[in-house]
Amino acid sequence: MKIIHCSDLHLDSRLEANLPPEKARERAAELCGSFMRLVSFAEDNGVRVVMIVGDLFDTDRASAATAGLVLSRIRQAKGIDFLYLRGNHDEGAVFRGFELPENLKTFSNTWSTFRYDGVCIAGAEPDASSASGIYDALNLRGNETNIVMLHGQESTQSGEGLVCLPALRGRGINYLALGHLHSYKKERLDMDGEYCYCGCLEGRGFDECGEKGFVLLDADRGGVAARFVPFAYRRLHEFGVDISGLDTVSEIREAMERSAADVPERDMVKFTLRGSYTLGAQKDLRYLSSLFAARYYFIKIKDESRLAMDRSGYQHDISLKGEFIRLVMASELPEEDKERIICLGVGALSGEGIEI
Amino acid sequence: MRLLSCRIENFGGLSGVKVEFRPDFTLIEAPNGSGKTTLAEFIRAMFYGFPRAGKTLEKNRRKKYLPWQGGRYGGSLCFEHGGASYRIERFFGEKPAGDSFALYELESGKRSARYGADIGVELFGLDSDSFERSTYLPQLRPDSDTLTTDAIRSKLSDLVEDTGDVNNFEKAVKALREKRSLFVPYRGSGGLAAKAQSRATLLQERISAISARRPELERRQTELAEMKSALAAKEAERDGVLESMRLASEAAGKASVRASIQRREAELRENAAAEARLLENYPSGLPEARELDALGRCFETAAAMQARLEPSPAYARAKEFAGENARRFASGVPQEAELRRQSENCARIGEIAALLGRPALSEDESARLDALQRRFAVGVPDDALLARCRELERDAQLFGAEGASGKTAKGSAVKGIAVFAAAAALAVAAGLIYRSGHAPLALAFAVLALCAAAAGFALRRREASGETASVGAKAGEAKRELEAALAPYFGENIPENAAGELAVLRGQYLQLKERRDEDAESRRALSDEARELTEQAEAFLARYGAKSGGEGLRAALDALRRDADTYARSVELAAERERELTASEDALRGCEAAVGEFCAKYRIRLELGDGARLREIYGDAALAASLRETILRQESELAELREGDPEPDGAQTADIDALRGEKARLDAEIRSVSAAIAAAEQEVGNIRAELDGLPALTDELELRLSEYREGRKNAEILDLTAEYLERARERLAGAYLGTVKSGFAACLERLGGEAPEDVSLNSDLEVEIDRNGSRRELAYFSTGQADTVTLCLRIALAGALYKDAKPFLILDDPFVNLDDARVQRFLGLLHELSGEYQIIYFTCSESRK
Repeated sequence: MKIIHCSDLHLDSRLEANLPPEKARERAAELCGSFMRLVSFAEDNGVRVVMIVGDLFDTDRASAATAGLVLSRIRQAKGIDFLYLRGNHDEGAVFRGFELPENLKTFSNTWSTFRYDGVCIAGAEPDASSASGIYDALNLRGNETNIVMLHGQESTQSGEGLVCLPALRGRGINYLALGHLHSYKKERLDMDGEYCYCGCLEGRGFDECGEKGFVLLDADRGGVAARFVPFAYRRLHEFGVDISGLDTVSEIREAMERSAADVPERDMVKFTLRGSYTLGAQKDLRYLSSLFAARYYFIKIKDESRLAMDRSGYQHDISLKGEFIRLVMASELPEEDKERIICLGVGALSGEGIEI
Repeated sequence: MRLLSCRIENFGGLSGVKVEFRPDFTLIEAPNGSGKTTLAEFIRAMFYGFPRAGKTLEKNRRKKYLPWQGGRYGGSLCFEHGGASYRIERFFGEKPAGDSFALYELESGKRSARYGADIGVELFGLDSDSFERSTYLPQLRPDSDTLTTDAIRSKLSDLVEDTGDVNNFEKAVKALREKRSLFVPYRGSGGLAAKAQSRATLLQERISAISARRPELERRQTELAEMKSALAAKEAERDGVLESMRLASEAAGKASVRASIQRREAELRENAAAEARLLENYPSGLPEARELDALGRCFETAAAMQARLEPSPAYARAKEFAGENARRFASGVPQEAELRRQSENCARIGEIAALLGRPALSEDESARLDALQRRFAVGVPDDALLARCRELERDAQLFGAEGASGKTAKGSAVKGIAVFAAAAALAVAAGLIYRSGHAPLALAFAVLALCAAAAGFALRRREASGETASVGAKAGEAKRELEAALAPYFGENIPENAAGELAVLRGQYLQLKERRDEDAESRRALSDEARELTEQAEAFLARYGAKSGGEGLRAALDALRRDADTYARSVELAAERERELTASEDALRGCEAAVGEFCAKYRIRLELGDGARLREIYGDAALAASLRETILRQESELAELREGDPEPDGAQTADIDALRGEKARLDAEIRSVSAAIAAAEQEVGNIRAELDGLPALTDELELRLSEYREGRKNAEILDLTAEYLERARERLAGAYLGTVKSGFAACLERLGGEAPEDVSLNSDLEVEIDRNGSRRELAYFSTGQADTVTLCLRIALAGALYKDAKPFLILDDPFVNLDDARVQRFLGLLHELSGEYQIIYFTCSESRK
C-alpha cells in the first residue's frame, strides 16, 4: 500500500521572500497548486492514504476559498483517504461551516487509529492538557505495521508542541511521521522504526532553501519503506557572495553569476553580498537587481557588505570630504547609518546621483 | 601680481585716459565725478569682462559704462605676474557676442595664450563678484550684505588644499535636500513616506472594518447551523406525514379491492347468462370463425357467379355478328399479310392513276410538235441530205465570193502551205540530226526538205491556175441544187443558212416526237399494270364476299379488314362466354353444396345468398367469442383479486385529506427555511469572501508601513548627511577662519579701535561686537565704527585669500565716514601694507591724502 507523508503546506500563509504583490499572489496560487498536484500524483500512482501531518493552512490567513478548493479536491479523490492532523498553525477551525468529505479523516487530542490491510496509522493532536500523558495512551499491536502521526518539534521532553522521541521508543512504531520542521529529515527512532520530517512541500522564504517535497511510503504488514520525493514547483536558493576587493559592478556580477551557475530559471535566488568594499567601488545594487531579475523568477540581493573605512587615510585629509568623514565616524550613530551617510555624502560631493 | 598701467579708450565717462601704477602705493586724487569708480570698474572689467546683464541699470554694467562720447568701448591693461608682463586688450560690444579679448606679452609684443578670456578667474581663483569684494574697497555701507560667497569660502578652503569638493558643497546639499523631499518634503504633506502612510491608514481602516465582520460570520454560521437543524426537523416531520399518508392510502386500497371483486363477480354472471342465451340458438354449437369466413367467401363467390350468369348485350351482339358472317369467313378470315399486300396494290393503282393523269408534253411543246409535223409532212430529212445541203450551201458561198474577188481558193492555199510546212520541218530535223553528229542522215533530211519545198511551189502554181477558171459556174450550180433540196421544208422562203436551221428543226422534231412516243409506251405499261392489280384486288374481295362498289377498292379492303377483325373477336368472345357460363354454373353449384353442408352440421337454416342471416351468425359467433374472452379474463382477474384480498384488519383509516393539508403546510415551511438557508449561505459566502481578502490587505499594509518607515529613515539619513556636510563645511571654514580672524584682530589693534576680544567673526564672516556682555550685529553701531571693522575685515580677508601672490587693493575713498584720526591711522596702515600689496587709493579729499 502506498502512503504519502506530507506536512507544512501552509496554504494561504504569508510568503517571507518579500515578493512583490503580484508575484506573491502567483506564488500563493502555486502553493495551493502543489497540493492539487500532490493529489493528482496520489491518484496516478495508486496511493491509498495521504497523511497531512499538520500545518496544512495558516489559520489566521486561510481563506474560505482555499479551504473550499482543498475540500473539493479531496472529495474528488474518492479512493484516497486523507488523514489530516492539525498543527500549530492550523489549530483553528479552518473547515468550520464546510461539509467535510467522507474520505477526509481528522484527529483529536487523543489517539485516533485507522487500519488498512495490516497497516495501522495512529495520530493525535495533543494539547496542553494531554501533551504529557499522550504517549502512555498509545497502544499499538505487534502484528501490524504501525505508523504514528504527530506534529511538533522533536525533543527529549514532553510538552505542548513537542514530540518526545524517548517516550516513543520501544512502542512498536515502524514509521513516525512528523510535521513542523520545514526540511526533510529522517533518523532512526529505535530498532523497529524511523522518525521522519518530510519538510514542507514548497519553500516560502529564503530560510526554506533546498529540495522540498513529500515522503512516499510503501507499507504492508511486513514493514514500511520510505523515500523522499522532491516535488516543489520552484526551489529557493541563497548564495553568499564575497565582494571584498571587487571594485567594479562587472566583477561583482561575475562573482554572483559564478555562485548561481547551475540554478534553473524558474527558481528564486537570494544573493547576500558580504565582505567589505571601498568608497570608490561600484556597488550598483539597482543595476544588479534588474540584471538578475531577468534571469530568474525572483531575485533578492541583500547587502551585508561593509564599507571599508581607513580612518588613518582621512585623518589628515584637509578637505571637506575628509572633514565630513571624520565627523560622521566620530558620531555615535549606528554603524549602518554611518556607512549610509558617508556613502551618500561622498557620492553627493562627487556629483554622482544619490542612490538610497 | 602688480598692475603696471592701463589705457582707457572709452569707458563710461572716461576716454583716452592712461594711468601708470606704482608698484607699491598709487594715489589718485580727483574730485567727485572724475571717474575714480569708473577706473576701478575698468580694471575689474579688464580681468573679468561684464557679467550677464541685470534688469536694472545698476546691475547692467555693460549698459552703465557705455562710452558717453561713443567710440571704441574698452581699452588695455598692463600687469606683471610670475615674472612676466602682459597686456590685456578687451573691447566690448553692445552684447557679449561683440566682445573681444587679447593677451600680449609685453616684452615680445606677441600674443599670448597663457590665459584666456576668464583671466581673472584663472589668476585669482575667484569669480568677478568675489574678486570685487576682496580687492575693491568702496565707500562702505553698514547694511551691505555679507562679504562671503561660495567662491570666497572655496578660496578659503583652497588655502588648505585644493580638493574641489567644496565647490560642490552647495550642489551636494541641494541634491540631498531634493532627494529628501521625495520621501518627506520640507513643506506640505506629500512625499513617498506620507503616501505610504496614507495608504497604510486606509488599509488599517479597511482591515479593521473587515475584521469586525468575524463575529458576524460566527453568528451567521451559528444561525445557519440552527436553520439547517430546523430544516432537518421539518423534513423529518414531513416524512412522518408521508408515512401516514402511505398507510391511509394502503387502507383505502384494500377497500377498493373488495369493491372491485364484487363488481367483477356481478359482471361475470351477466356475461355468462348472455353466453348461455346465445348458445340456445345453436344446438350444435357456434361455427368457428374460419368456417364462417369460408362461408362468407362462398356467398361472395355465389353472388359473383349469379352476376356472371346474367345476359350480356355485348355477347349477344358478338354472337349475332358471328352468325351473320359465318359463311363469309367459313374458310377463315383473311390473313394480315394478304390484306397488307392488297392494300399496297391499291396504293400502287392510285399512283398509276396519278401518273396517267399527267400529260407527257406541255401545251407549247405539243403545239411545236404539231407545227414540226406539218413541216416534215414530206418526211424527215436524213443526215446525208443535210450534209449535202450544207456542202452545197458552202460551195455556193465559196464560189460566189471567189468569183467576185478573183483570189486563189483557200483550199489551194492551204495545200501549198502544208507542203511548205513539211519542208520546213524536214529542214529543222536535218539541223537537229546534224548537231547530234549524224551528218549523212542530216544530209538526207536536208535533201528531202528541199524536195518538199520544190513540190510545194509546184502545187501552188498548178491549183491556182486550174480552179480559178471554174468558180463562177460552180457557184450557180450549187445554189440551184440547194434550193431544190430545201424547198419541201421551207417552200419558197428558204432562209439564209437554211441547212443549219433545217438540222435544228429536225433535231427538235425528233426529240419531241421521241418523248411523245416514249410517254405513250409508258402509259400503256401502267394501264396494263393497273388493270392487273385491280383484277387481283377484286378477286381477293370477291373471295370474302366483298365488292369494290362505288367507294373503290381501298374502302372495300378497309371494310373487309374491319369485318374480319370484328368477326374474329365475336367468335372469340362467344367462346369465352360459353366457358364462363359453364364455370359459373359449376361454382354456384359448389357454393350451394357448401351451404347445405354447413346448415346440416350446425342444424341451422341458411340460404345461399342470405347475407343478413350470415351476418347474424357472424355477430353471434363474435359476441360469443367476446363473451368467452371477457368471462375468462374476469375469472382470472377475480382469481387475482381474491388472492390479493387481505383480510380486513380493522385499522382506522386516517383522513388522507387532512394529511395532505399537513404535508402542504410542511412543504411551505421547508421551502421558506430553505430559502432562508440559501440567503444565509450567500451572506456567509460574502463575508468569507471579504475575510479572504484580509491576508492580502495585511500584506500590503505591512508593505506600506515598511515603505513609510523606510521613507522616514531615508529622509532622516539624508538630513543627517546634509547636516554632517554642513558641519564639515563649518568646521573647515572655522579651522581656517583663524587666518582671517588673526589678520582682522591685528588690523583692529593697529587702528586702535575696537578691542579684538570684543569682536567675533563667524564662518560666514559675519561680525558681531560684544557690548556689555551681549553680542550685537554691526548694524547696531555707528557708521564710522562699522566701516572701521569692515575695512579691517576686508584687509584681513585679502591677507587670508591671497597668501602667496598678493594682489592689488583698490580703495575707492573708503574712509569717507571716518574721523581724521582714524583716517590717518588707516593711511599709515595702507603705507605699511603697500610693502605687501599694491595699493591703489582713490580719494577726492585733501584731508584723506
